[in-house]
Amino acid sequence: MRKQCLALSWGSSFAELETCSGWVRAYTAQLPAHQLLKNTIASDADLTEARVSMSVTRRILGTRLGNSVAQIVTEGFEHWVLLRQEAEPGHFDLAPNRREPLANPENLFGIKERIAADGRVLTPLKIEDLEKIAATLKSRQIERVCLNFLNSHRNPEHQRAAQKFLQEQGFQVFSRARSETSADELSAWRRNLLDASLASFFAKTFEDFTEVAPQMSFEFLDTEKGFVPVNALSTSGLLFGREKSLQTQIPFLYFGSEEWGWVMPEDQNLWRSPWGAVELTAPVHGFFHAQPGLELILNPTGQIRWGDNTGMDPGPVLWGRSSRLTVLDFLGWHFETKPALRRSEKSEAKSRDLFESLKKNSRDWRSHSFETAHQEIFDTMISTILTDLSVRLNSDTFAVGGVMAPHIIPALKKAKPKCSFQMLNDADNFHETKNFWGPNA
Amino acid sequence: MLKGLTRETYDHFLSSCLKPWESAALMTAGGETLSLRYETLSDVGTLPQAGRVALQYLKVGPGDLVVLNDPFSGGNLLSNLTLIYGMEHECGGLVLVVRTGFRARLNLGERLDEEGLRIPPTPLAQKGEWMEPLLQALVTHPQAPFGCEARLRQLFAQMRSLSQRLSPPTRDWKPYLNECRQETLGFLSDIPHGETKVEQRLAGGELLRLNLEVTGEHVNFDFSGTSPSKKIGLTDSAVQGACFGALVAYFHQNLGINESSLSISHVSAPLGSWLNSKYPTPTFRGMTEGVHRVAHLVWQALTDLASQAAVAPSPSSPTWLSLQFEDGSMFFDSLPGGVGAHAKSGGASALHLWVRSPIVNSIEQIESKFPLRILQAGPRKGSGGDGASRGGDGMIKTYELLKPAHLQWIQSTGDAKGFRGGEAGQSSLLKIEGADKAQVLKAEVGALDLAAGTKIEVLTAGGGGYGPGKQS
Repeated sequence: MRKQCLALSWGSSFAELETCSGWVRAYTAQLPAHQLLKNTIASDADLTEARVSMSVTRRILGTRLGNSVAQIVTEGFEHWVLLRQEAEPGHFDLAPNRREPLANPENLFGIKERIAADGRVLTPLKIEDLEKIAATLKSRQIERVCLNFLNSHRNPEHQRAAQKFLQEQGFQVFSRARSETSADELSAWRRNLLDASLASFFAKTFEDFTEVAPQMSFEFLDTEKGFVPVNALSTSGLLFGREKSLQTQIPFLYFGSEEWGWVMPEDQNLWRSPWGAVELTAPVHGFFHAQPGLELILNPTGQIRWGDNTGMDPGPVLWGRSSRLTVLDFLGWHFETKPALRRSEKSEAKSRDLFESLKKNSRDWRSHSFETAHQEIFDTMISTILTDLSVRLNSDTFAVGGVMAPHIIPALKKAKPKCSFQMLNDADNFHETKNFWGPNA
Repeated sequence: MLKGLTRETYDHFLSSCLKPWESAALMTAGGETLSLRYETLSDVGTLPQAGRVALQYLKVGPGDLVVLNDPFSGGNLLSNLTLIYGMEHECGGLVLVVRTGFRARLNLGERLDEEGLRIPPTPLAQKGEWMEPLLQALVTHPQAPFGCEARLRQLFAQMRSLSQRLSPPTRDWKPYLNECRQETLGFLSDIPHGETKVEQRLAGGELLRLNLEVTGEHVNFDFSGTSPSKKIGLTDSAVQGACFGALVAYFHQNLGINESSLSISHVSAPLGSWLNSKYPTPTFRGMTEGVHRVAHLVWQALTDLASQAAVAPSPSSPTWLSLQFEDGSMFFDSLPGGVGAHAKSGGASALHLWVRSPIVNSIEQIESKFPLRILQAGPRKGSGGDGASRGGDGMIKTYELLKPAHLQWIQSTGDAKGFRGGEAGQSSLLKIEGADKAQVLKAEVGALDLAAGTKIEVLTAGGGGYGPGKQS
């Protein structure tokens, strides 16, 4: 890597940073990514170019997005995206509901305009209608506006005119330039709304980065465009940057300390989001049912079962993070996440004490030693991983990486002797930032 | 009792097997259902029935494939094909039942055969090899669904590939099923024991009568007294699905559906009644509207017994419409009504209650494929019943015909009543506006020839309100 280059992979709980001087991983709850960046730059004045991938944007998908985003939609279809949002729960229920919509329904405006399926103008767009809406938006202090017009992929004339007008009025306008092969208005409109909804989070993030590193030029990994400067990316393109950075020529299996999943060599053009299909090109990827952050709980009959997946929030007892046992409290004895988290005597003792308490109250583990329990958990994880590999991934050859990969791969090889698992870890670890600057950088 | 982590392995295997499909079941070669994934109410009862029929009459073995759509053999709509495949390799001894849907057609015939091509249980492959003459006879039939051959080949390859890669965690599923039964009985204990009678009359005069009895071990659904009908027919397996689907909704849990959980429900649908009809009774209306009505009646009965679980009624069915054009193309749409409110919140607007993964017709796709223009699609504001919690609104969708078409429809008539002082939701309506006349269609079922330029406005029903509103 050239001496002026820096690569940063910012995940949900960990961040990795690499320069020609070395590589470091940080636990972001203890050392935020922009602070990690600041510390690195402080010790290396040569660094001027940074490439960043982010999957942290996914975490905010669970929050209320787009509260201050306005939508201007072809009149008659203002609520169409909301009506087509999938119901929760996924089974029969007499009180189903929809998740919070992507944008605030109170900031929803219909406008008289209509393009036919063949691109003809049926109802022309009138600027005076836009003027009225703009006045209302200003009175509500709304700055971001999404334009969602029917058949704009056949004739973008109205959308472009509206965009021009609103930009001249000082609004940040999100108007998706759809291709001829754009699947449908629903996935395109959701994409537009997602771009607008994530924009403020990203703007704040970029502000933090440039504040600590004003001399650096930043490029971000957009799954549709590769590494691009800020003004060229779309915020939804950041969602799966990490998966993009992990994509190889064969299916890649990832066994990290926070999550286990896979990334396929091919891309998908529609992402099945919590709100429905979104037009977004990203690697085909998924997560194993078995996850290191799965809690171990006792059900009323004394069975040990899996509970929620807590990831690293707060994290395993073994690393001094929480008071509830997870799978990682058993498997984590086999490795360290250098140098982000370390075990201590105190946390190790606490982990064992919690095991003893769980064991005493359970029917399944009453006579188990810690090692027997560990083996049972490990065997269960392997069994479910194998099921997922069989059902979800139609392949016999895999690349594998991640801090827990050396521990898991031997069991997978034993169960699937005809499959090939090629370890990508180097002596120390698996570096997600390895290829950010290409092999010849 | 199984160890908890062993149970996790079994649960995961059984749910994962069916992930590639929206409607599917995994069964043992002995005909026991191990897991089931459903899209519609009828799937819950008919998928296992299809598997059992194929196993009993065609002795499905490893590598064998049977197809059917006959509702009287475990099918539901004739536009849905059900494939039954004897799994191979380490999965030998298991049977996969997968349902795949083709373009739905709204059929209002007098006989089942008028609804489309009826396929009785038919072997298509043996030990992994296609029986080509039988396959070609099916796919070249004039009424065979478009793209049928490619879909069948693709699905068979998919099922075989899965069978090759999977390793079941056990060969003995009895302990698992025993444990599931205990869990289901646990859920059952949430319903107060007792008995109640409810009935409903359909717009065509058909009577639907239910005597519901809940004991510690079973839920008995006795439909004695239900009348016959020549126009609307169901099968007993579809009724089983509707009853169990309503129970799942009551339990408010993602209840695993298998032999054990299904065994707590006993359905008695009298032969000759419209719930247990015989060939050649048409079944399209039964499999769409009929199962919804059964589920709603079951829910009404459950609410009688367990008033704390009360939810105001929802419309008894969505509005279905089809438009057949002169070039032979047929457009089909299914528009949901609003959902009934409950004590804690209002009902959702325009949501399919009894269909998972419903058809999502994109406006742009419709307009590019059919001579149609959609003028509006949104909530029918104010159509939900007033109340302390408001019923969900139905929806409005307006179509403009660019060419002449033959319209057929099924809509829910009668209001979704309010509950405990809440107001009823508005009924569904179809408004037709042609060049020289306008009319409002209130009939439950009908057909009409329409000229180019005609506008069709569909207003679906609102859900019932719960509790007295502010004005009361």
